[in-house]
Amino acid sequence: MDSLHLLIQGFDVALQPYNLFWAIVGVFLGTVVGILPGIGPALTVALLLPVTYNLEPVSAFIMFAGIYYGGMYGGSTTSILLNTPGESGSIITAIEGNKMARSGRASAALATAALGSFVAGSIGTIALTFVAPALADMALVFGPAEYFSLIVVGFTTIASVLGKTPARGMLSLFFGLGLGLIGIDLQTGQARFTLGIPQLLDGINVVVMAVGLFAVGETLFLATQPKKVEEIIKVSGWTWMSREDLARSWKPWLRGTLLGFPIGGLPTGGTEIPTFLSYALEKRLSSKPEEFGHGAIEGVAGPEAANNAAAAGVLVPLLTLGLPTSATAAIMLAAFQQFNLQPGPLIFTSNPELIWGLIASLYIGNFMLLLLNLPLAPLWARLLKIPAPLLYGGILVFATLGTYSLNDSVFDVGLMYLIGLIGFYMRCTEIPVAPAVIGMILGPMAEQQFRRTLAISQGDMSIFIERPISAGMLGLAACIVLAMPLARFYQRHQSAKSR
Amino acid sequence: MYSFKSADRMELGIALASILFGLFLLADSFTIKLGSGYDHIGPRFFPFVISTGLLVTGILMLLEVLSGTSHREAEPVNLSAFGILIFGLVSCLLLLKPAGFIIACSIQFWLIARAFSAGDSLRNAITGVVLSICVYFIFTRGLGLVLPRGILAGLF
Repeated sequence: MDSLHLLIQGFDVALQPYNLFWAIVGVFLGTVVGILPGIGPALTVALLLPVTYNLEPVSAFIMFAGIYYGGMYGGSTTSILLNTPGESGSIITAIEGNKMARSGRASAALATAALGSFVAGSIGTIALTFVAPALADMALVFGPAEYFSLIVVGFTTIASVLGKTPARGMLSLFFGLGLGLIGIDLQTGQARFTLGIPQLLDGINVVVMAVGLFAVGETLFLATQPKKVEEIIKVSGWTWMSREDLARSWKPWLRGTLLGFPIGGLPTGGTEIPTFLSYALEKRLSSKPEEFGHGAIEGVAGPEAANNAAAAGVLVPLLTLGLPTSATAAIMLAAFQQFNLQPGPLIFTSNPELIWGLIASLYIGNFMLLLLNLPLAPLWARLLKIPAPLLYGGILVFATLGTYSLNDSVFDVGLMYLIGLIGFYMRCTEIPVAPAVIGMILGPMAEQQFRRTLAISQGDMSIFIERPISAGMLGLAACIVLAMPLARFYQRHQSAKSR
Repeated sequence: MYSFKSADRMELGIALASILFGLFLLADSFTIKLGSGYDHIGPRFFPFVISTGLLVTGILMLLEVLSGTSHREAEPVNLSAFGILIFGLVSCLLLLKPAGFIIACSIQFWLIARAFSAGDSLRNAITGVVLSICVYFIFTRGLGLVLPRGILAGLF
């Protein structure tokens, strides 16, 4: 009841013409970057941070939310029509979606993706509306010990879930943590690891990191790989689906939502994992399993719903605990910090119009995206005709612009290129970059909470296991660390058997 | 012993880089002055933990590479495209202040496009110049950012 009341006030904020304008800008940009391969919501929000400095925080976040949700919608169009995922959350969509498109069913694939995204996005947003305040109330009792333990859980899952071998995810995480150490130590006021370079005193900006890894690293990687020419499948007219397609789609939509929202809320690096799970589930439950691999509509409907529900789920820990679980969420956290806001339980009482305006704008954005994407997907697909040389040349111009204007500093641009070179190397060796971004922003938070805890306990480490919530979370982290090698071993064992 | 494939050399490099980064952080940690006795965990503790983490994961990665479990089939990197891209980045970096945003980014745009494909040089050059000029004016006049004007400062 209370949440509903606050949500209505949120709609008052989000429906102001000025904020509505930024919501439209956001969903429009989000759809564009979702469709274009090579740029995603994380990079886009990072590049827009310096530009939004003069906006009202609530308007900026309404736009960011539109970009975030829009990226999920747009990504599926690219997967279906080009067989190259526009976003990491739509990798799975490409499997069945592109097969459907090749057999002349592109329109149905696009429709089930857009409608599924809308259903899942709406249910996910409703769940967010009620779960987030409840979780924020619970988190009010959290002290520094609990926050530290929570961040440790985040580290263990992010590092162990992402990457094709265990060392890879951990390596990326520790790389980010190491870079996060650079700068002035807040407690003692002395510079650490700055090599005497004054520009490093404030630490490496997370925008520099994200733009380097996502824009420059990706461009270098794509330019140096042999070109694969993928045919863009043409669709004409309006996007719609038959009654039979709808009958086969609605259950996968709901199942995808049920998988996506809770898993998105866990620190597993965002929206990819629920899409894999949803695909496997639909394949098992389908009445026509023989169609899988040849264009089964369930294989598009389920994962597309899952990634949108996960996008809503990711916002729960970000808003209530200040804990980012994906690269985009890490950049959003940096955006909050730019406006001197700290997401967490207190922000629900200190800044209700911002939080509820943001949540209300998710409902509005989701609706706008359905209108933009369902009938117009073939029109958006024309963006795919932009030649790669022009697209990546343009991305680099924007990367240079965004990074330079952070601090009017050429040093930052050079550092961003250097990090891009490292990102290229990581991309070549299949080391995931998201853990590095998350590690860099969470590392300093972890250190601060850790030292605060020990200041309270007079240096006694046992405080972490004497407080029950903290102990439970550390226990969970330990279980994850122990369980992951077992899971990998089991997986290898299974795949060896089936061979 | 696992016989080494050229694709694994990059993994080996990453493993060694991680170990070196860890060693650097560890060595440099000792130069951090400890605070007063007031804080119980000093500014050295986290650097110690993180550098140890880097060393351990670096060694783990090394073991994965040497045992062959991390082997992957990789396409060779196109070195001439790589060279052009690096040239594009460095030239933009060096030209940004002295020549200004428009010139530096136009040149960068052209070189990056060149790295992707050899054709359409004129189209790429025109697009790069037009885009750089548009971006410059939209973001400086419209959105209030400050970008280097360079040698074109007298013109506008």
